[in-house]
Amino acid sequence: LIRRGRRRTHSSPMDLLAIALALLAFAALLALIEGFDRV
Amino acid sequence: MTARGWIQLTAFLGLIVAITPLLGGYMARVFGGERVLLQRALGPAERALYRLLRVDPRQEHDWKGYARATLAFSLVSWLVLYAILRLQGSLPFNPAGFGAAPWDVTFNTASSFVTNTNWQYYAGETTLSNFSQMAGLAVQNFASAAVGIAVVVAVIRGFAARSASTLGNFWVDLTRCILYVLLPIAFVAALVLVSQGVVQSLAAAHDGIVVGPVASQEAIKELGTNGGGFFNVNSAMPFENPSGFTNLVEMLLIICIPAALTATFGRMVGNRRQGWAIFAGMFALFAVAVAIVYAAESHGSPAQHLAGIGGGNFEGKETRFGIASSSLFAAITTVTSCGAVNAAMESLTGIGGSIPMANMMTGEVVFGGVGSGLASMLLFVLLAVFIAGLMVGRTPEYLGKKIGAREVKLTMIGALAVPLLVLFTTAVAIATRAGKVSLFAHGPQGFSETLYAYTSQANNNGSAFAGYTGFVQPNAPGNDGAFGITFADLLGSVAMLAGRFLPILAVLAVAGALAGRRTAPAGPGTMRTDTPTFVVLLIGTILLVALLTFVPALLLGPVVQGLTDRMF
Repeated sequence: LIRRGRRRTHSSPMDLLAIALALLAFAALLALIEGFDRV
Repeated sequence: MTARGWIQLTAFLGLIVAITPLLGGYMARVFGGERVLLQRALGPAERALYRLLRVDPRQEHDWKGYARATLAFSLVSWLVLYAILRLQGSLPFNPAGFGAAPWDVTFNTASSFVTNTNWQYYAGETTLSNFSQMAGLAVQNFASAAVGIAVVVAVIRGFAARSASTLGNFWVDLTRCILYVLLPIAFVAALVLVSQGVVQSLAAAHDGIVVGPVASQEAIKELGTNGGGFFNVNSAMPFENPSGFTNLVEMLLIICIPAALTATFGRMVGNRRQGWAIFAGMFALFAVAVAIVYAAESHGSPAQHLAGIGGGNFEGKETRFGIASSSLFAAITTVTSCGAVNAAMESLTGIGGSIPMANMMTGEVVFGGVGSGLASMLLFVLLAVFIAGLMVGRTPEYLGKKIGAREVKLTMIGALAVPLLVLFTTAVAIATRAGKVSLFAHGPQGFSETLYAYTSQANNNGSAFAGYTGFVQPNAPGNDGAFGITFADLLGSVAMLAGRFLPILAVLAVAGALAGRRTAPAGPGTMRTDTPTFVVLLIGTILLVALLTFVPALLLGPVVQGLTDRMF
């Protein structure tokens, strides 16, 4: 089922990496709010 | 150079001055919560949206709450846009049957449109379905523009507040911005563009030429200073920008909100002269930029003259616009962080090409992007106030509020984050094998391509010098067999995300700190910030920061090229 879904949507494991990278970037920015609050 | 060209440029500058107080006053009413003309028609939609989102419009955020809401909304926007772009092969309105673009290119595109950059490694007409263009990119054109405007409105409230702890409600500002500012103007503008021949269709092609829902995207592309074209050649394409009239409309759309926000600032802080002072600083830098590009392009390049081609530089320019309109567009699109183009930027002369780059290197504060431009400009205002305070030995103050050490530190972080990001990413890209894969030209032109690419992305502009790429389509059109250049795609994404949100967080933190400060009445020793002297100081501060940061880099690229008769 996963293979069929992947073929249909052209998705790849790299999509998970992309989403993880985006979440990481925004998490870092959220953490920065607290950092700026302590400046 | 012709008299007609100069008249054209001067008339346009006059139009900006005329529009600024009108639109600025209207936006001040919208964000002040006052009743506006469209309230009766759109009020029910506004209230329904609050109910749907479970937002209490009376509840306000402090700066951290406002910043968190901004980031949360942008993250959700990013995820939705990424999903739409990657699933476009299974989604409707895909008449050409395009599959998805590779993940790394999509990562770059999603980061680009969520950050209001609209840097495009892809060509829309050979890569994206109509659904991706409409539900993905055009929606983000509205959303990212509204985020920028909402942020600056919160910042203005912080500057204007008399001992408060909150900056407003992000969701209310976002909703009111889209409903009462962006949607009505974009709707009317799209109709005007359609009436002039800009295409609006759901078909794949007409007589072999790609068409699509262009006008609806074109209007907000300009109005929101987004700049991502439906077609690869952007506003040079007759289907996006068919005539001199549409060119004028599009240029006005680009600059109207960034300019008008200065008037909004003046009204909201209760002193219109303060708004006009900031406007004057922006306007002076803009007018000089336009004049230099026009003069350089009219004169032509040394290489062109050596080849025996006299007159101005027409390479890469549309004959229906000519040199004056192309120069004006190039200056507008780079001072405002729009990034739309109606001529090939890489074909500008060395000096002509250095001005768009220099415009971006000022940190996109000369009008700048919608909202983000004024927000960053206010950091430079504080910097100028601080420098003036050092010179005369007094505690710096702005709008009656003392500027303390914390505000100055945050200001420095906000003002220097993007220039450092530009230099760092350019250095990494030019010094590594992986970075050089993206180059098209060599020598100073290749360096200029790289510098321009990361200057544009980090400053959320989105215009490109051409040449530099992160996407290869061997079997165009369509995405079969296409691949991304992962290094350029990811490095550019880092530049765009950090370049967008670092200054936003810093300026919101400054506004939060200032909101709590008491306002003291002006005394005899108070430095006035609404006078020509302060405007000159502000311009000097902006130029000083930009020059000290970027002159060495500019010398290696466009200046070397402008002084040589070699073709690169």
